[in-house]
Amino acid sequence: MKNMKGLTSYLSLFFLVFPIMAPAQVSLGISGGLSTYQMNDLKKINTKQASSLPFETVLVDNFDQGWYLHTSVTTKISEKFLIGMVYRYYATGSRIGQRDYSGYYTFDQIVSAHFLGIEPEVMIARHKYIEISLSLMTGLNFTDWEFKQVLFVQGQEDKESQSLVALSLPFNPSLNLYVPVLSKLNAKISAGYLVDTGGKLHLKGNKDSALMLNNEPVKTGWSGFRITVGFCYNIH
Amino acid sequence: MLNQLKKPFHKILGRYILLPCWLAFLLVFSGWLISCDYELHEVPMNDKVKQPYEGPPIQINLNGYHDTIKVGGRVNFSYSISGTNNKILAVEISIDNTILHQYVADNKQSFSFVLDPADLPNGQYNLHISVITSSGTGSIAEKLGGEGYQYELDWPILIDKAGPSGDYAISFEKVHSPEGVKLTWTAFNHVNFFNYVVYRQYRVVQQQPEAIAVIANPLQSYYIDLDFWEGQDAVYFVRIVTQNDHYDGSMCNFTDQLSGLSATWHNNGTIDVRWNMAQNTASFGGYYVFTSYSDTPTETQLVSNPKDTSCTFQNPGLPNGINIYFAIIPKNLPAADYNNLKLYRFSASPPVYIPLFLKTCRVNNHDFLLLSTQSKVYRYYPHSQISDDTLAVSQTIYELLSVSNDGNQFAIYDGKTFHIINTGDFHEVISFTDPSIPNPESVLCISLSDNDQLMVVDSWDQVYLYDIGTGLLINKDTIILNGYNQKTAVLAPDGKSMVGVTGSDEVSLFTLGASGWTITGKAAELIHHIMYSEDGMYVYLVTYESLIKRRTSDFGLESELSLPVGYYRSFDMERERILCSQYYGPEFFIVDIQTGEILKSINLGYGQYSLFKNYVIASGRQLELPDL
Repeated sequence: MKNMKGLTSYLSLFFLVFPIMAPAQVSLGISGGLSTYQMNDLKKINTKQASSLPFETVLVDNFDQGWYLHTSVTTKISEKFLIGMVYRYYATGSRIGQRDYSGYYTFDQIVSAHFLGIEPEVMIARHKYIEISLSLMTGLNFTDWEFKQVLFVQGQEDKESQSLVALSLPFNPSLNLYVPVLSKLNAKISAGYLVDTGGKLHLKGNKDSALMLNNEPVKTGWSGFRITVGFCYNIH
Repeated sequence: MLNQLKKPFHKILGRYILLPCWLAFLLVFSGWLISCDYELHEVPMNDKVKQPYEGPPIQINLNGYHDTIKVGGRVNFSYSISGTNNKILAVEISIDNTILHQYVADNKQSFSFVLDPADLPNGQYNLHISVITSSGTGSIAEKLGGEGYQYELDWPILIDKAGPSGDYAISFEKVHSPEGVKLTWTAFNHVNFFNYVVYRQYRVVQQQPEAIAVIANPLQSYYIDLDFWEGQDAVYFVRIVTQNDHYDGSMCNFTDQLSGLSATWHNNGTIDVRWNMAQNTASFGGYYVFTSYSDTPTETQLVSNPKDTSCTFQNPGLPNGINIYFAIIPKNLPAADYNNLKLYRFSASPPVYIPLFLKTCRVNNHDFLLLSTQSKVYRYYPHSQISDDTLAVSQTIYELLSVSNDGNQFAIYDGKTFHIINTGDFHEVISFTDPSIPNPESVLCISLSDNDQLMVVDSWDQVYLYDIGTGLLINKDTIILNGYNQKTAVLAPDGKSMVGVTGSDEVSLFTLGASGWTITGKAAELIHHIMYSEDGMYVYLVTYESLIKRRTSDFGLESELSLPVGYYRSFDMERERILCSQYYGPEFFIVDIQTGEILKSINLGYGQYSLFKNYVIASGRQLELPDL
């Protein structure tokens, strides 16, 4: 997370300086989105863990849909074509556990990702106030995965945790709708689907130490629908 | 800078106010989103799981014990725990701080252990049992084995490694209602006891001891044998079976005695045998009774009714003493084993109710016999069993008694003097001595005729003939005579001839002439006995195989009857019957000498018997036979 925060700092500086330095029409966008996540492999981990326990567990969280941050810097290449740099941050997680008078047990998986990529975009329709475009976003997805297991029974606590990382290549086609709000401020609504090719979870710095399940490497599964609502500010 | 100030205000506002504000917003918003970790929800409390308080009572079944465990040696224990559905997590069993058994649920052990008390002295201990079960609540702690119920139990245990020793002799006592033999021995009341096995052997018929009782109670050191064989000798011993071995006590003999055995002889030749009723009717198989003159049964009876206490033997005869054997037959005993049993033998003799005698003499034409002893001669009437007019003499050589053929008088010799006695009144007709007889004790044979002559034969082969009217010697010859036991010669009733045994297989007829005795006839016969017919016309020669009748006049053969069985014993001249017997056997036969027919066979036993009409007379006893 410290590295991610450092990356965020660099990105913030980029977004702060880039509009001033940009020679062409540039717009800065920030959006919040709602996304779903498949995370099939990680869900299997939960299933296997639950079946290995001597007591029953309940599934509290299961990589549910959640909000994510989307920021972008877009420059116009022609009347119909745009290209932008995109940063997204996803976070989700799961928890299985049990709690009774004798104590509690939790098995948590928290997974987050920093996506950094490019997004070519083509305007397919333009009305007086509305612009519609198609885009295809791709780049690198830096995933951090962490599990925590806590067993607290009769006053005694036992903890266990592990952190892994993964790198994957996602593709996210989407349909975008722009609506002007002020002279340089447009509202943006985008809907798409992200296909994650999946990255093997492994120890940081050691790709060979991968997390295995049923003799298969566990891969990330960020695939899911992406719906974004935000604003774009045209600098030039 | 001035150029920038000349720009429109809204542009200045856009570039220098709104844009920084936008960027600031963008920066703050982004940082806030990124800095927030994904928030997981709390796990809800499972209220269905209730906290336990007190576990259910459990029961432990340990080799079926209900109270003190008793151990005498190495024992395999198995146990089960009931009363709870909770999982048995752990069991620990220890004795004297020594752990015997540890059960852990996940180790797939069995509920069993071994206790070897080899290192533990005899004494009282506690078997400590600790059981841990799950709580059954289903809680996390319960599922992880961190919650459950613990039960503690101290089970008293007695270690007694003593084994049986000593002879465990059995004492016996007859008991009644029901009838039985009570066996008592020293109890072996120790842990190693498993059971008593009582063995019994009737050695007369059983090759091996037979187990008759198994007793599982160590304190029951007695047993009542209701199947004992009454009147028999048995060997008993007690086997003490321990957990791993057995120990045999000493063999002890039990002798059972019967009582009440008696016999009554009747003058018709039957004997009533009586006994006390069998006491142990449960094992009664019969009364086995037989008579015998030796070991061989002559008449056997098997009485099957236990209430019958007597039986009658129809044909015991006239024994001087007959053996009666008696036994109570055990139920289901094969008949072949009857004679192997312990038989109660007692001798039954007819009562003496006539004079005891050594010799009988037939008296023709009279209803009595003469019975002679060493010192007396009796006149005995068989039909009335009366004896009277005994003649007392100082000493009688009982063989030297001769009755005249007409039965009117008889002669006896007392070793010194010849006495001629009237049979009717027993008065002495005459007595005389002969000094010419060199040795008075050498007289071996006398014979009295009807014409008052007495023939005397001595061991010097001298044959004297006296006139008993005067006591004078009429004739004296030297004749070599033989005989069955001694020299045998019989004077004819008319006194004119005599028949004597002159060789080992020769008999001769002598006629008295002026020159003395002259042989006038001979026959080659092995003679046993010589007698004349009542009329004196014939002489009967009894051999070992036949009865030969010859004429007195010329010694010619008149008739010959082969004896159908046995040997000659006695002659009933009046009825012309003889009594024969086997050589040594007890069986006698009455034979008609005219036809040779066996009129009757009868067991008389061993002894000398005389046949007189339908009476058989023995010394002191008489048997009356039905008329034949």
